[in-house]
Amino acid sequence: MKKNLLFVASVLMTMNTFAQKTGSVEIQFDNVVGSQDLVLKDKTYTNANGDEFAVSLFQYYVSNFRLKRKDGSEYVVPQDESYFLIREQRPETQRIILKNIPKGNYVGVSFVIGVDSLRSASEVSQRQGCLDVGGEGKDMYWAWNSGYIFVKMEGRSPQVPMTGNRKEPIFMYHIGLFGGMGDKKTLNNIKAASLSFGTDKVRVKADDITRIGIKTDASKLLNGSTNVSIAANPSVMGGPYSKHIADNYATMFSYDGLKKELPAGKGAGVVGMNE
Amino acid sequence: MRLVRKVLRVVMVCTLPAGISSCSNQSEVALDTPAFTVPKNFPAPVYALDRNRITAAGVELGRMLFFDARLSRDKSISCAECHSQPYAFTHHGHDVSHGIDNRVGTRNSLPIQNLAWSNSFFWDGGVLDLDLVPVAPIENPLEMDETLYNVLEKLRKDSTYPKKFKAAFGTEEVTTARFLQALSQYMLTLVSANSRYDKYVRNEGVTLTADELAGKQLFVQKGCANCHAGELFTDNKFRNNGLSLAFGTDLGRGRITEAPQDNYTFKVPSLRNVGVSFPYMHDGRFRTLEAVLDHYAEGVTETPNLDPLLKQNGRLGIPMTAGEKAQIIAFLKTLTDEEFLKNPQFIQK
Repeated sequence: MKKNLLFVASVLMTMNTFAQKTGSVEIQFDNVVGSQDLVLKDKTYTNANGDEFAVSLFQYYVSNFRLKRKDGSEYVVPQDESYFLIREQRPETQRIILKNIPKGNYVGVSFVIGVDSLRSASEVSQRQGCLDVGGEGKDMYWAWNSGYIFVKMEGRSPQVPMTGNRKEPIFMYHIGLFGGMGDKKTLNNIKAASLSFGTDKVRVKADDITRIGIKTDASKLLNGSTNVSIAANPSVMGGPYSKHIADNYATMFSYDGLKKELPAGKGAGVVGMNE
Repeated sequence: MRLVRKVLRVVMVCTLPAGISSCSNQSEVALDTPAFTVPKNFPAPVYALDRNRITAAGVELGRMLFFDARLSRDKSISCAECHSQPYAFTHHGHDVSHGIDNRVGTRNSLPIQNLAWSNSFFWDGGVLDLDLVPVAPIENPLEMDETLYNVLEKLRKDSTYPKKFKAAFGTEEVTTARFLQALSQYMLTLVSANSRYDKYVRNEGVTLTADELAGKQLFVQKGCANCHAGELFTDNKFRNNGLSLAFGTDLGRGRITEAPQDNYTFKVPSLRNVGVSFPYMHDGRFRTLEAVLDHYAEGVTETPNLDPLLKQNGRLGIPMTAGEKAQIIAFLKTLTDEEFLKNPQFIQK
């Protein structure tokens, strides 16, 4: 009996040694508008349609991260540790940490923009952290057409017509819809991003943190295959037009190089479901 | 009932001596109760009962929440406000339901009954999981106008609720999942299966009158049962039953799917307890069953996506004589389940 226990213990220790040959990848998200930094409220930008706009709120889900190797193989981050809600208003959410990444060289990263359809329809106990509709995810969920809002941008534009009940020139883009379940189909606005690290050597070392940057261009919601007129579409929340904005924002992410450790005070970063 | 009491006693004993290992096992708390059983004449439930086991403590917590006005922004209305037991958990007499500050909603509240057999919820099927249903009325500005986040905060600060959460789920933690699962547990126990019709089909010594039996036959012959199918009296599909758009242009299912072919379609409601759940239709436009049958006989309007069953051989609606209508209504009233409507276990004590 004692011998057996010793054997089990030594096997466990061996496994542990293997398990330690992993490092972490930190991704620092930098929200921008074209070539300018995104500054909430106080800065005015112009979209491709020529409309002026200021952004008061910008936040989005990214999930289901995969890291690509040169030979085409991938490391898939375990799903429960792979949901993040990035909020411009909260710098600590703009720094996410993927843990237990096998050491080695990686050439790219891919992820889902939004929440995959399976998790969008999952049971309530599977909706933890940033997916908790009565917690962190409270402002990113539609209760009446059950599903997450993948990307949310709000702000003001002088081009918004003051018609109907509108008291202020406000625009709101709340884009979601995961496709529905079974025979109950809806629009599917889930998009994916796949970014190459180019010539950068992104190497994950055991017990170390490798830091990379991703730029998120908020103006891409409005510019792209459809140049959105804020005047004509000041409020898009679901609805057929949401497809055009989702097609646009599918291109809003770009790789932004290797990064250094952020100065203290920028938050500790978030792991998994932003718990 | 005795079993329920026994379970509660086990729970009470277990909550006192914290260190006793046999009591830290949650399965001892989670004993099954007779609160939910599948009626003999019903199909298998579609709700995943294995992922949210119904327990006496869970049902008790869910019932407390259902009757608690703190779920609304200003503590003025509870779920029970628009879902009142004597009327099969509907908003009695209201065409569309009233919410907070007497704001008026856009739809007639559906009965809460037999939800374990439903795979979509609300008139438009916007929610596909019972556990996520309560978030919609809580957060609708015309209904409870609150956020789930705030509701949970209120419950965490309450002196009673954390204990109730512990009894139901093992610890005092108030979480989204537990809150919603407790409400589901209570709502799942609202099973209506003891109408005269049920006792008749189960051969439990109940007979139906000649008119009721004729109505039962007509219900099938005239095609009512094509949509109001099976023992749940619904096929759970979304259909346009030809309501005139002159009273409103609610897109129904089309609002959810954005698909033009779903415009003006609504969930086929169950007809159980239909005799007490007036008014009828998604907007409550008909106040009597007579008006409903008159609609199917003479009032069907050709609107986009009208269900083909309501336009056969070029004729709109379902031809019925006055006598046939009366017999069908007599049959529909056999679906009224007095035991369900008066069951004291469903009420907050």
